[in-house]
Amino acid sequence: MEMRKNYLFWMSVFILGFFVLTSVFAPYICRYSPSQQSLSEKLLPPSEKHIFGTDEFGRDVFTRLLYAGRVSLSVALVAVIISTFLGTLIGITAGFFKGVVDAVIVKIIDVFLSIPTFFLILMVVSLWSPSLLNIMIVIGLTSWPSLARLVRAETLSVSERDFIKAVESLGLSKWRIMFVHILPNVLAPVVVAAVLGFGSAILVESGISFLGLGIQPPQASWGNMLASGKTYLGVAWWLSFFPGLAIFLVVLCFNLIGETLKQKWGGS
Amino acid sequence: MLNYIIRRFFSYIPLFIGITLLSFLIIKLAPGGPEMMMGFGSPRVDPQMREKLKKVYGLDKPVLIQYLNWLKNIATLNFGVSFQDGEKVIKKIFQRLPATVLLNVCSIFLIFLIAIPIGVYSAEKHNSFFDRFFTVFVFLGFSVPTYWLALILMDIFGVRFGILPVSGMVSFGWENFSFLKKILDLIWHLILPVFISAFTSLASLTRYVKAEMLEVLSQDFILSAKARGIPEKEILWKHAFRNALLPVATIAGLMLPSLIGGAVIFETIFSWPGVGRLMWQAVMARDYPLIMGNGVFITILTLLGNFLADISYAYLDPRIRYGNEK
Repeated sequence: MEMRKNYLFWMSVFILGFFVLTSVFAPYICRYSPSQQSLSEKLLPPSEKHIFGTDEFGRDVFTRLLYAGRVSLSVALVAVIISTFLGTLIGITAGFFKGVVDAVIVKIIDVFLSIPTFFLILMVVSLWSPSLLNIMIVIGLTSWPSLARLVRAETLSVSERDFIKAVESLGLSKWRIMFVHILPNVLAPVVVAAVLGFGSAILVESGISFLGLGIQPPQASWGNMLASGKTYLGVAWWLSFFPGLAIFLVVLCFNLIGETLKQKWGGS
Repeated sequence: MLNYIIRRFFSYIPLFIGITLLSFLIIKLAPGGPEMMMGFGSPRVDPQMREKLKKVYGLDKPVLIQYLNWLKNIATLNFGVSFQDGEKVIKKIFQRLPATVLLNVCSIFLIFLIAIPIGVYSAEKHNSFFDRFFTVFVFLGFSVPTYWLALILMDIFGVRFGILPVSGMVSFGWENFSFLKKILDLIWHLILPVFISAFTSLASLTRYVKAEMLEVLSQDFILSAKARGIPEKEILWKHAFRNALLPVATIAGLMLPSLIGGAVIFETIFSWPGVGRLMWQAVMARDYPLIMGNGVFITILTLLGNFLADISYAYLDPRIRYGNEK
């Protein structure tokens, strides 16, 4: 059982690394440019020349897939950094100070968790412009509450332990206790949540881009590539199949890694 | 019980205020602010006229008063009129609501119908082939982008084989069908959207049921039931499952936000005439009153769903209501 799990874990790390590296080094790998149009070569099925075929403007799907990976992965990265930072900070604050602070924060978390997040994101994206930065921020700002709840629970249990009582009696400052003594002990679930959050951020980004409200063409993201394939349903399956497969694989790998870490560290 | 319901109801008030405040702030902080939202924020509007309109809409009052006024409008379901055709926002939402409710009720039903047996048997035969197979399935369910799955299924069943419709809720000329044919046609159109919208939640509920069952099955009263020689099947369903069902009931309420949020995508893909697609159309047309009305209305509806789940939880589990009344 253990070996099988590890095998899947390393497999996921390998596949993810592959996606990250090919995205980063896309300009050195691709023979074509992601925006290079060729109307004589439009909607070609996968072949030796274009391994994933071409789209409605004759652009190489494989090339666009790699460049889209840069966009989708970096959106997820920034969003996860924002949500992890907020979730950890807010969760520790609530769990450590308890009382009124805790009650207010718990209510705020409840508010966020009971809103259909996707509606909220759409509301915000439609009022502000759907720029790359805005999408990163919106996804980050809407996905911290579940982590905050987790960190709060962990903090509550950690702060009951003897060594925290000991450092409290030493008269250390509250901030020092929170970030030097409690934080390292709640880090495991934070890392797990960040890895899993990566997967869901990619799903959310591609979801809004799929609806035409996220990353705007001609810049490619996996979501908007999928969307353009919808128009050619039954005509050119490769347009939506490969971007979807990329999303699926990357999200699957993040989930597998996250779950393995969770079991290993015994996080909740 | 009534006591409990009232208490629960009051605990939702801060939640309601939080949600409405958040929505209000989104409007307030949006570029152009509420003036833009009501259609006179553009620089082409005469400044004097704008000041007058601000007064008319009460935008010259302090922020708190503005919020209270806005709350009053929500309470009376007055979300203003759509930019596109001047129709009342609330009327548009009510027109689209039945389609969304139908879709979601069907998918929740399907989710429970499939997830409960799978979850229960996975727990009973923990680490068996059956269990492992569905563990993999759950993982795939979590990771697959549903719109991608939708496109693939549409391609296979709709375009290649042509056996399922890929868009809309009813066929052309539905009004003239006989009653039975109307129902069958509706079901035929429901198959793909319901399956797709159920897919992700199916995975999470299966996992949840399994975890709950494992927890209950490890408790002492199960052991004592076994010792008394009660048949395995009876222990599984009568003793264990009934206890595992309680937390599962609440998860239905928690599933609502993601189901409804996902509705925007499914309804757009399948051209399903529900509120999700209305939201998408509103966003595409920058129809601000419709966007805000839709968002706020759906959010409050979700809150109501959670409230109902809470009550049903207490109804199913006496420990909850008596524990709270002490």
